[in-house]
Amino acid sequence: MRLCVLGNSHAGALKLAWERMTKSYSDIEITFFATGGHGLSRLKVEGGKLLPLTENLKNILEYTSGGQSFLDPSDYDIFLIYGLYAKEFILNPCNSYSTAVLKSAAFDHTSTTLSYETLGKVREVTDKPIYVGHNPLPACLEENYQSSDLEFYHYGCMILNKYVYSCLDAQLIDQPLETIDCGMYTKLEFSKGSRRLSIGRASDDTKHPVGDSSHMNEFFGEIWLTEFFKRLSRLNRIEYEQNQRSEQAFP
Amino acid sequence: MFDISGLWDPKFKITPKSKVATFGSCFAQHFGNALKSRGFNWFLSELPPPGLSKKNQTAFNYNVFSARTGNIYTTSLLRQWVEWALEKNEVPSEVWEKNKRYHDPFRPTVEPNGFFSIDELRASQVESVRSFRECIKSSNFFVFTLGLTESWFNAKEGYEYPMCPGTSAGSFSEDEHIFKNQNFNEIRKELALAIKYMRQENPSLKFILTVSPVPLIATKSGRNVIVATMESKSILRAVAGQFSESNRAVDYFPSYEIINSPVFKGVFFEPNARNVSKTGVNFVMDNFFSDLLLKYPEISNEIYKGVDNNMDYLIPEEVCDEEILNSFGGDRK
Repeated sequence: MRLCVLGNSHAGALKLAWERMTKSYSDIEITFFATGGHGLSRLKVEGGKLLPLTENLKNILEYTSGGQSFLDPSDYDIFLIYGLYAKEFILNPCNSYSTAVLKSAAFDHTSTTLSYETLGKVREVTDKPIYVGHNPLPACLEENYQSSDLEFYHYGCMILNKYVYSCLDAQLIDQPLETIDCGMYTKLEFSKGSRRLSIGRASDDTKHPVGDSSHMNEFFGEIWLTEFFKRLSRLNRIEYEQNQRSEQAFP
Repeated sequence: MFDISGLWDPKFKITPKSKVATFGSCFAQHFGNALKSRGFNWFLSELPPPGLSKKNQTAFNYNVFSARTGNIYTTSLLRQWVEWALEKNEVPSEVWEKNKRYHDPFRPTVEPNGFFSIDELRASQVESVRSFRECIKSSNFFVFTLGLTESWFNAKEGYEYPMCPGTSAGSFSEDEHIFKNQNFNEIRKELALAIKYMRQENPSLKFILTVSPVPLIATKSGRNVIVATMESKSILRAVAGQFSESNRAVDYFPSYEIINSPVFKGVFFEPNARNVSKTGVNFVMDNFFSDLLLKYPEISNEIYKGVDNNMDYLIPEEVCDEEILNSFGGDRK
């Protein structure tokens, strides 16, 4: 399986994790197209490919992808859009919001993010499966302590998939359970020692400041990717079984 | 802008911690936003889902009033909502269907395209009634803007609609719907009942009445709309005035006078001579807060904590069901 990851600084945790995990997944190849902040907004769709609009972005993409200066969708089987300001959507399922209100809220919550913009561009050039991972839930710093029912988080993911991502035949992947604290945070341990995304600059792999609650470390990345692969495997199995059934029904 | 002050002698000390609920006609929504932008506690009991943009919050009638009741134009509608909230009466089962979407006759515009199903409508209605009850039970102050004397009722059951059926949704029938231009005594009686019920539930609840300065957009009274407006506003003003004078728990704030007084020569109206301009809204709200501070200067420090230095609050687009009447070609009256 050839996986293409598009992301920003948050993809750093996945990239570092993947460097540790590669040997255990000989059947998976991952290519990262990532740069910090809003850098990926300078991608354009042209000739069925995603091309960088600036020389700077071109150089960064070459660095993170290991030599590719643009994204040709035919080189990959699956796409993951990670971070890029996609946020969790925590919502009480006992609400009495109308369908129209929920649809609007889900769309308003998502549509202005770089993640959604990038999703639109990728979908424009390929029909292949696209998954979306939101920015990690913030780490639970003591002074911000609140709690929420975990069900609210999962309900919010379901609503986003139902009203937003399904419209682009994409799927939002929820953050692995074992990384979540108090229903709305990432466990503090995963924010410790997080390192910057490596893009060929002096700051590559340096640690985020102490107290940074938004970026996670490679241990988080490892759990995220492991759970993602498990999910893909489950989905593939389901798809395989569905195909088998359909072949039996219509030989 | 104008060197005029002391238009209001507030009866109550509203502090930034006081929970203030706001309901009523179109103009009432400015109170909520002004309270919020100046660091007061606008009590919102029915919140939109996270992520819903400001534009869509307004479109779906969230954060317009303290609960998603839509406009409550008359004192009889207020009494009706109070009775539903305090379970003295049940919300009628009537639903308006339009193009396979379902509209709430009592909140006809809160869902611009109607509800997906009757069940969805009912669930939303229950939530708004519950939220309105929460405002009665938990607020310290209840600001109510009286808007209209003209009203529409179900002929058989006697309940009231906020708008004439058939305007935003539903269909009008001479047999099923009756028009009533309420008189002073009727309006006063309905207001008295509403306030009595609310204070039975929350004995410490205080009221601030205002009269909407916005002229009628149309009238069913048979009179010219200019005459009908003056009659309607005069009655509402008289009821509010008498009520506040005779009731220690009720105050009156003169937003109607501030906009309509000949002293200001109509400068607070938009060129259409109906809509109150942003300058006018700001002038009204400036007077509200300056008079409050004049009487209770001790709250000033608390008020301005964390409040933007720009005291002109952001006036959102007004949500006014009555505007729909424009589309019925009522340009003569």
